[in-house]
This record gives sequence, structure tokens and C-alpha cells, in this order.
Amino acid sequence: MPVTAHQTSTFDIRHSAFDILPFLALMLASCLGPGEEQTYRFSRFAMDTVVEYTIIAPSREVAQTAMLDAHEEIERVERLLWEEDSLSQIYAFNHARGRVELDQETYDFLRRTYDYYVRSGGAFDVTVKPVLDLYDFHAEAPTPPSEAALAARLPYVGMDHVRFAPPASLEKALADRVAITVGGVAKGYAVDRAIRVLRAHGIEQALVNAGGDLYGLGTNHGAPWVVGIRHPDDPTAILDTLYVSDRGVATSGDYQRYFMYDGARYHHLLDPTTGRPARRSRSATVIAPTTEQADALATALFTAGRAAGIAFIDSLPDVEGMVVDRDGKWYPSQQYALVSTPRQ
Amino acid sequence: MDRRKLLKMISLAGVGSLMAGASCWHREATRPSYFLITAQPDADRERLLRLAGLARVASLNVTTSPIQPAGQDLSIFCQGRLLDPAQDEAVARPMANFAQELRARPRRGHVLLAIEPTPPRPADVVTFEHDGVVIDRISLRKNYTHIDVPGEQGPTVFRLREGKLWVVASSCRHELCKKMGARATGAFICAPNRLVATLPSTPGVMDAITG
Repeated sequence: MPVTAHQTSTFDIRHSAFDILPFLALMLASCLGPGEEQTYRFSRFAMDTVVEYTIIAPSREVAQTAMLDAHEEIERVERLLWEEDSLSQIYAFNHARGRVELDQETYDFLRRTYDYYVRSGGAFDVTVKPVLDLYDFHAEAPTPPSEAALAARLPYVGMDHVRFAPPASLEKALADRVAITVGGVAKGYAVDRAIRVLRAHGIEQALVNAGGDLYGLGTNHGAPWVVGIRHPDDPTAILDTLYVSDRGVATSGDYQRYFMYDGARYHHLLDPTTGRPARRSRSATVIAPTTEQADALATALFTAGRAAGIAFIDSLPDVEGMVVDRDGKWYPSQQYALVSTPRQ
Repeated sequence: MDRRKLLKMISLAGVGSLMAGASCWHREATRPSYFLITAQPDADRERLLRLAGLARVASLNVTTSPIQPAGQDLSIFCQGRLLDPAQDEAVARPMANFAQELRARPRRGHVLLAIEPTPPRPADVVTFEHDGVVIDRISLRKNYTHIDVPGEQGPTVFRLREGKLWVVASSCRHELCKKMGARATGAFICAPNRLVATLPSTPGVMDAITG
């Protein structure tokens, strides 16, 4: 016999109205005129990934114009921060000797990375570049670096080797081997800047997703944005679902960039103290007020692992997270249920 | 209850399935997206659709946008990774040759073509079974305050909202299913009541993926 089900009086208008009354919807749309908002989706390239825009706007032209400006902003941030770009500020710092004058935006951005470094107890550290460069993920037959190679470069890891001199100078305190990589936080910052541009265009509901670092602006026609967390073992499966509105989300996982050697996985999320891939976690997801924060804190949570990492997330106001440990079990922060439970 | 049937039901509660080595071209649920910069969009679009085996696929999202002139090129986005078809060994030879040809073209392209197969909609229902027999299916796109499912020891009461299901009341002693919390995937199993509620392996209501 079938189950007895009591439907709520408020239901999913997006789907019900369209499914049951298509002709009425069309008639209403023509009567309502340009005020009716629709969802428009676009995809573009930047920062070595695809940036997906979901924009709710009164017309495709409005959505596309806002998207193009937002994407231009992402490309500007890419030119500013991408360390492989010889014109970027980060490249300039990495190849400079001693003191470097930066523009204010880059200086402020790096100041924030220092704050994340301090607050995470060093679990997030942009100065891992000297050891990260020893892992060639694109090689035909990659091999992990030797202990000797790591030992030679580890002394240059640590943000204490970088001195901040306001208003906008940065100095390498330890020879010139100190170098930074902002891949763990730049995409998040770029998404935040894109959202800012969309807001300036009057867009109140949108989702910008740059390779998994994303921000849900406003709502999706009145409901939270629904975000799936990829399962670390199966790229087609979802581990859990988040419901976000005006929040940034980011995930760090050992499956995102890696190579296998002798049966072991060597991924890009290094433990700054050893120069080896951090082994406590499989993936870590953070939900925070900005995508930049989520991006940096996800890396920190991954590196720190369940015990120290979740305690760290719990200490931060308005930040939630969850981590999958190396045994495949997942652990949420205290307030995680706020973002993983649908509205009651 | 037959032990093999019970074990099969318990296995439904596993967290995802291991699909090690699955590639984009072997699973319909993960068809890649193609991004083409070209100076001859109509001809190149048709050729790409043929090479990708998408010429007769109805559920495609094809967008064309003018861009600042750039080198003609092809990229493939697959399972969160950007592939270079001219170099990635997983890409078939005809597609790789097309990518090489694009890059050798002297004129700069001014159109970005994005071909994104619409993923097949995963099942968006929850299936209730009693003793291995399906007794009902309910859409995950609707909200329900109470779903009363009969069982050996009495009803189990579920609530469904915005694609997530959870147990609010259970007739069995341990109430383990209540402790599972709200789920969008996986299954709830109540052995005393011989009840299984199965959700899709991937949720039907998703705006984005992180990770």
C-alpha cells in the first residue's frame, strides 16, 4: 500500500507552476513584461579553469553585460596575481631581490594571507612555493622530491620570512629564495571581485563558480543556492549538500591535482612543515562570508586535519566546515548543520 | 528475511560507489564540455559536434560569444579538469588532430563557442520499499511535512524539504535512522520495520558542485 504523504502548503513554485500551468505561465510572462526575472547561464575560461555564471536577471542582455564585466574583473585579478604570468605582481616579488613595491590591492591581499597564516597556526602558508616547485604534476613520469631536495628548500618556507612594510612594500627577510604561490586563495578572491561587479550592475541573485570555489549571491528565486560537495572517492557522487545564500564555499581535496608513485598519492596540498603532501585528510570544505576566506580556510582545514582543523573552524565566527579524514569518515564543525539542513 | 536480501539492502546505505578510473567518455553522467575559439564558428561547430559524437544529441547547451581576437584553439573540460586535446592521451586522434589544426591557423579567432551537454537528470525521487517490494515513490522536488511509511512495528515518519529527507519519528526501539540526519543521497534502512528509503546517488536539485 502506498505511503501517506502530507504536502506542505508552500511548495516549489519554480517547478510546480511551470509543470502544471505552462500556457498560463506564458500568458503571464507576456503580461508582466520586462520585470520577470529569468535564470541565465554562461561559462568562460580563467585561472586554468572554467568559471560558471548563473545570473538571475530581467533579460539575457542584462545578464550577459553583467557577466562580461564580472569576467573581465576575474581576468584582471588573474593578471595581477598569477605567479606564472611575468607581468603579475606575484611574479615580480618571486623574482626580486630584497624589497618590492607592490600596488595597494596586492599588498592588502597578501596581508590577508598573512592573517590566515597566523590564525591557522601555519597550516595555510603561501610561501610553500620553493617546495611545491619540486613536484612536477605535468611531467610524463613524475617522481616525488628526495628528502635532500626538500631539506634544501624547507628553510625558505614560512611567512615569517616575509616582512610587510606599509603602505605597500614587501621584503624577503631570508635571501632571495623565498617565493609565494597564491593558488590556494587567488580564485576565491577573484570570485569575490566578480560578485562585487555583479552587485554594481544591480544583480541581486547569482552564483559564480570558478572550478569549485564559489559564491552564492542572494537566493535562487527565493530559495538558497544548493551546492553539492564532491565525494573524494567518486567524482560523480555527492558527499553532502549545502544550502547557501550570500556565502562563499571552497573545497580542498587530494584528488584535484596529484600523481601516483609507488602506490602512493602525491597531491598539491603540502604540509608546510615537511614539504610533503598533507596526509590527515582527503578533502575539506569551508563555508564563509567571502570566497577568499573559504578558499584559504579550506586549505588550512585540510592540512591541519580533523582534530586541530575543526577546532580552528569552530573558533571562527560565521564560518562552517567539514573534513573527510584519510579513513573516509567525515566530521562537521559545530555550526555546520546551519548550512547543510534545508530551511525548516 | 532472506540474509542475502538483507545484505543487499544494507549495501544500499554505502557512501557512493567506487568508480576508479571512470573517464568522461565512458559515462553519460559526466560528458565533457568543449570550448572552441574560432574564426569560422559554423563550420567548426558542425565538425566538433561530429568528432565529439554529439551531432544527434538533443540536450546540448551551445552558446556563441564574441571575444577579443585570440589564437584559435580547443579545450575540453572534463570532471573538473581542463584538458589539452593536442596533448592528452585520453583524447581520440581525430579530435587531437582538429586541435592541432586550429592552432596552426593563421587568422585569429573572434568567437568563443561553448558546447555543454546538459547532464541527464538523475532520478529525483525517493523510493520506499518494504520487505524488498517498492511501495511508493515520491518526488524530491516537493516538500512534505509528514510521510508516514508503514512497517512491522508501526509507522516511520519522514519529512522532505528542498531535496533532503530525514526521519522525525520511528516506531522501533533504537531509532538509528533518526540519528542519520537529513540526507539528499544514500538510503535509510530500518531492519526491524523491514523498511528501506532510497535516495538517488546524486541529488536531483543542484546549482553547483564544490570540490
